[in-house]
Amino acid sequence: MESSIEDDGNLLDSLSLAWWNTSLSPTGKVRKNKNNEENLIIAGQAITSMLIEKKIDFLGIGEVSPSDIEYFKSLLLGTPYDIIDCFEQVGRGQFSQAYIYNANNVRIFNQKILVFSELGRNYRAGHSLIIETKCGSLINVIVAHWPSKLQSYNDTVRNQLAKTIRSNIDNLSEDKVILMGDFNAEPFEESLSAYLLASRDKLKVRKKKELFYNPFWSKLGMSQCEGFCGSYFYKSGVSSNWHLFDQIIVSSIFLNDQGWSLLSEESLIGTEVILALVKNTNLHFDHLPVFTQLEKVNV
Amino acid sequence: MFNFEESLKSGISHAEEEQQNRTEIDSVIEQLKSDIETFTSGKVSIKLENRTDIDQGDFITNALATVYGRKSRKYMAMVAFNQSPENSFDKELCEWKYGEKGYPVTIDYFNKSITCADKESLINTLQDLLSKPDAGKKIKFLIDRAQG
Repeated sequence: MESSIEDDGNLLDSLSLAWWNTSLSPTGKVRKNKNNEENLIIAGQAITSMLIEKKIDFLGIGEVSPSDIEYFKSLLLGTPYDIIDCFEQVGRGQFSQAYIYNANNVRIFNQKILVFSELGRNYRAGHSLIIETKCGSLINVIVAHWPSKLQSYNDTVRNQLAKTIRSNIDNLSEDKVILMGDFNAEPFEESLSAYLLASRDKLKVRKKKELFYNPFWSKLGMSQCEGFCGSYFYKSGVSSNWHLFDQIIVSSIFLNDQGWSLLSEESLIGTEVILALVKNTNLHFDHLPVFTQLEKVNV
Repeated sequence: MFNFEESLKSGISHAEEEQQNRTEIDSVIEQLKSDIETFTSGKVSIKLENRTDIDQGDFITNALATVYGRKSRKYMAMVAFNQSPENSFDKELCEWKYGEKGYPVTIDYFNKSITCADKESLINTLQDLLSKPDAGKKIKFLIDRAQG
């Protein structure tokens, strides 16, 4: 599916991006639970209020099924928002993600799935999209949902997935790159810090263009409201029930005032509404959304 | 006190590993080449060659490059071609990128980029590539052209 940008005469001076692992359909197929419909309706309300309140231009959503997407499409009829999904089969699993975007401000015109294959098994590294903003900037957005921590072998796999993404980026002519998703790894873990090279150090990233900047390093502590300390709630955690697995990471160019610049203070976790959903044990939700914003810079 | 002995040993060991991997990868390509030639009765073969975006003559890619001032991109591709010199058609089957040690080999085709860490994965990926309608159409085109 390809969209076109309607020119309403207004200039786009900021770009708002978000990611939410909805937990609705973890394998890309509808759960066999009784209260699926209730969860779907609640997720739809949460998404629409997020789009409006945060003025989101691009929202990646994970753990969704084709029927979830059909429902979201019906909710967004008559709005500027369109949806593109990704349910490609990879080995024994499949991608289960989609992108809701404001078609007045961005369009998506190129897509590629990134896969790592070892010993005959295939792993999903990410889905690479080229988006074009209203003012003509091209940004490579890679949306990832890496394998969980439930199997220890996945620690090695996640390192390889990070290398796969890096190799893909190094091969591209685009230097505006945004990575978002549920990495099942904290910012300090090897896969993100050593293999993907997503650093906490803004000054270092400004000087070394091969590094990424991960604004979510600064979110590792307890939130100000003391309601959460991460993006993922796991009720059986040993030393913490919260983990920071959902992040939005940007390439060096977004720190160098060249076209688009990262507004670090807008790299945030959660909304009050979704925090309440995560804390409700009768519902499926266990992830908070993450947000970031880019600002247009005159060069 | 320092010396470079360990670095040299490591460099030689990596070079040997790369050579070994390249030999293994070459054997897979040779097998594929042989199977395609047999299947098409010698009409079509394959090769790896260095290309640029312009070689492909892709109108959209070239137009984008002009609009956004992007430089043409150099890459390696696996190309299927007619064997006879009077029918010199070719079709790109996939992009191909060797890793530092031969592996991983990254193969890009039809909106997929598969990074293969070993021989088994490389074979599986090439089998998947050839089973797709896109590759089938290209091979069929070359067979039809060879038949005149």
